[in-house]
Amino acid sequence: MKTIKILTDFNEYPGLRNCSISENSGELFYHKILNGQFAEAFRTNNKLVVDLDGTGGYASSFLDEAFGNLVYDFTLEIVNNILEIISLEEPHWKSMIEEETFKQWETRRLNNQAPKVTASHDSWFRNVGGKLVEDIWALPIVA
Amino acid sequence: MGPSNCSLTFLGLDASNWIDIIAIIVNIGLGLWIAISLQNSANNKRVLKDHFIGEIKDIRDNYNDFFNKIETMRPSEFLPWFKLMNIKLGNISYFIIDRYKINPDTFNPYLIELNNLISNNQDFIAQFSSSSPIVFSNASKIMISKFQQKYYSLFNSVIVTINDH
Repeated sequence: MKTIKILTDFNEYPGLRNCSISENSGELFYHKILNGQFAEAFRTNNKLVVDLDGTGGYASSFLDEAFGNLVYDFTLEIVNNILEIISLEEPHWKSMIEEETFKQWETRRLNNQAPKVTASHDSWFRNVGGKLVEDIWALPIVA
Repeated sequence: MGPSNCSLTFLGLDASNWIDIIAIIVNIGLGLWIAISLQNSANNKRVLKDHFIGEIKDIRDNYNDFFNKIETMRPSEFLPWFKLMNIKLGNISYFIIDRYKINPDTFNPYLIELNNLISNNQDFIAQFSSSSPIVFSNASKIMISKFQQKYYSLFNSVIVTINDH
């Protein structure tokens, strides 16, 4: 079982939703850390724990973008089976992610409403029919 | 042959009299103990209620101050301040939810909506990297005011629930 601690593995001060509007965004966390670690847990049939505690606080949009992208790329069922969120300091974030974000993004996934990509990212993983496929699935939106 | 007299006497009182006197003394003692215990228990409960009510009032005042001074804060100060308040409310909730039968999710919509309101606000996003105090447009101020109106009674309702329990 692998644990991602956002404080030490990403940043003490997480930013807002997208790379285009802030540093250390949810979009960046997803592409830099979460997607790869989750894909590894999926491939090795392990659990992945994400520990939210210890940072300087979250914007709800950071969490929504990071964990929403995960559902979009892997499906709600797989995310529920693999991911465990720890948020002892602010337990309402765990509730929000599991009860709102996951469901909303599963609906988005089923409706093919792709996440907004606002910066160039290395290739990332997506579950396609039960198989992990690595690709650059979207390019940044040009304003 | 007359009836036999087997009763013992002491200080002019026979055994049945002494039993009655002891029973009265025990009952009085028991009554006093129950009354004192109940009073202490009631006092303790009241003191605890007053403490928690005071804590809720302090948190409510913290939020009121936040809204009154919102344009003196730098954008980078908002999320840490939210976190501090989330921890304060989480701590008090831990103690009052079971004790006073308060819905565990009572404060969640407030915490999440307030964070959404600010962190998704276009003025906040545009000034997020600025080190100057934030400036909100009139439209943003109206939205913030509506949020305050929506949750105006939240803290008072919790105070009433604690008090009436």
